[in-house]
Amino acid sequence: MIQVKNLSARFGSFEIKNLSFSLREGEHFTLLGPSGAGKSLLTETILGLRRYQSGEIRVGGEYVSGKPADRVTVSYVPQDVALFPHLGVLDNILFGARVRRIKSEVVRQRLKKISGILKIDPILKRGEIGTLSIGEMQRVALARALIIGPRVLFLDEPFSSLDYHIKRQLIEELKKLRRALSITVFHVTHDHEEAFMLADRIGVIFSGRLAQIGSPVGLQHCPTTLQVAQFLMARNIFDARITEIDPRAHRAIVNIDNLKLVSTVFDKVNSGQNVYAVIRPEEVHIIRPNRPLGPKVRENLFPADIKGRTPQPGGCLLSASLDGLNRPIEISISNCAYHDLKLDVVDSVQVCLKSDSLWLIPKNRKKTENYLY
Amino acid sequence: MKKGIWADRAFNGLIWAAAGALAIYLLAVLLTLTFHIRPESWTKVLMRERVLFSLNLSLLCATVASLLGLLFAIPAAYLLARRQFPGKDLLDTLLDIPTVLSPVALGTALLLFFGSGPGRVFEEHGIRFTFVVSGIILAQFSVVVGLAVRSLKAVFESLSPRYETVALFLGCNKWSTFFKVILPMTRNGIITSFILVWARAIGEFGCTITLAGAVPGKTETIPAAIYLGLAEVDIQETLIYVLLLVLVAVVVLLSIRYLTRKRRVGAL
Repeated sequence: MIQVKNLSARFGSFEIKNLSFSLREGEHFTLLGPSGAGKSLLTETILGLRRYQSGEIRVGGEYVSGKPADRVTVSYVPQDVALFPHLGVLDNILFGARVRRIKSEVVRQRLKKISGILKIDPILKRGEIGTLSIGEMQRVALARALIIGPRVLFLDEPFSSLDYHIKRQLIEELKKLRRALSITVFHVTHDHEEAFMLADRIGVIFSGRLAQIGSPVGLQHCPTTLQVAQFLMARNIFDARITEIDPRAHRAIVNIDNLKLVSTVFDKVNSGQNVYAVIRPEEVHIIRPNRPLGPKVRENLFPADIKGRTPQPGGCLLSASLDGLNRPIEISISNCAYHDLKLDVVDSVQVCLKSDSLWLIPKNRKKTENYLY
Repeated sequence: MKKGIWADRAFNGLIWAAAGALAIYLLAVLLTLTFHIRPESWTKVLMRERVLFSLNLSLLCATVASLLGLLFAIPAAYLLARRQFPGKDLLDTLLDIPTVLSPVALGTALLLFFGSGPGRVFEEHGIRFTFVVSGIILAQFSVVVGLAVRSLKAVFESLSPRYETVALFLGCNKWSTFFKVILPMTRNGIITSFILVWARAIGEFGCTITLAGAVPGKTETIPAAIYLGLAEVDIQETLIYVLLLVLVAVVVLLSIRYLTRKRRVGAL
């Protein structure tokens, strides 16, 4: 549905460099990156609102080159929603349908479907946009964009100004809309939760460069650069060295400080190579003493002392020190597990850094920026 | 805390004092005029056909000139607010010239242009501007158009270009975006600009008298009548003309404000 090939564009001192990716029909693709990464610029370039120097962009099969993308195919909801304040709610929603002279029967059916999912029936007759809440404005903007029956919907930070509950509701409604209307979605955000809840695939962008594209699960478990790992809040990232590799068993022995660990998840690394060993806090297991152990958790099992507890929604982030490791390791644990393991009274535990959760990133890949979390 | 309260009071006092002083100053000037008029002069002057003619002429010319001004200023201001092109600063400055030039100087330039310059083409083809009513409109138009461009440019700049982008993807072309989105959203600013421009046009004197003259019963607007009244040392007539001008302007401007207030739209 969208093909971007070797795209390079310069906007003042900012540059988008050699960017390639494509979107399949019906896919929800999210471009995730920090503020200033070039997400909106890239979106506007794909939409044909900005000129680019080289490469090619195709939307719905049509080439886009410094002219707005095919308006029959595309609809766009900007960050500030841009509802027309001189029109009421229904007039805003029907604006595009009237301009395009879509048959009233078609419009009526679409409106029924969309307003049912977005639950906007009670506000359709409101005359003043200014009386709507921010969540209602977002819903009206979505309805206005969808009533024209686009094949691709572009969303630029659509939920950035919403509170948590409204955002969750809208995320669910957007999922339903996508299924009901069979549309492709190109979605730009800096919000991890939003991206991971909605996307089929996520592209991570830093400073105008796509660092990695993958499924939400793939990105979390197998970041290809330190920058991506840090941005996706892997938290436990250690300097390590591979001492031994068994290619047939796909096992690597790595040294982290004075600890020797086994990893079975890596790609293109060699024996003797310096790497980053990454394990997400939610992948670290706390094992109850005297519990019979399965083969997977017998490896990489270490005694640890809990040094700190930070409450989180639905759980707790623990900081634990391991003998032989110079830096504490962070462990995310649910409230239920926290109480089961009596961690409110017990300080000494066993932790397992499972070999299939310990991902290795080769150090020779270019490191461009560090993110604090 | 107390210091903060006093600082707030001082600030409020200052803004009220400034606005109050201005209002008192203007009212004092107008009241002085009013007290100088003998009651019998009102009926005497207002009964004259010449006064009614001047009043009608002033209203007609100011309204036509202001509408013409907006007709040119709206697209020009939109261009300056939205497009980048070589020579933009030069064009922007050029459009300011009528505003900074003294009205008499502008009138002289117009007189030369239409009297002996390239503008004679119009005169030769029967479109006269010198010493006729169309000259008044042209003079007022020339004085106010720069002002209209300046005020409307600020209005268009305050409107987020995202509205246009959204309209484009909803199916609008440039024309429908302009007429269905931009104009309705900037309606408030356009009305304010019209009020500003109309007020400037109805009081215009220097450029008008230079290009169109002040022929009684033909090109004599109220400002021209005030001038002629003073020249003839007819103080009573002059004062009534001044008050008439003020009264008409206040009534018209208040009416426009009242009629458009309820349907105004913010330019977000």
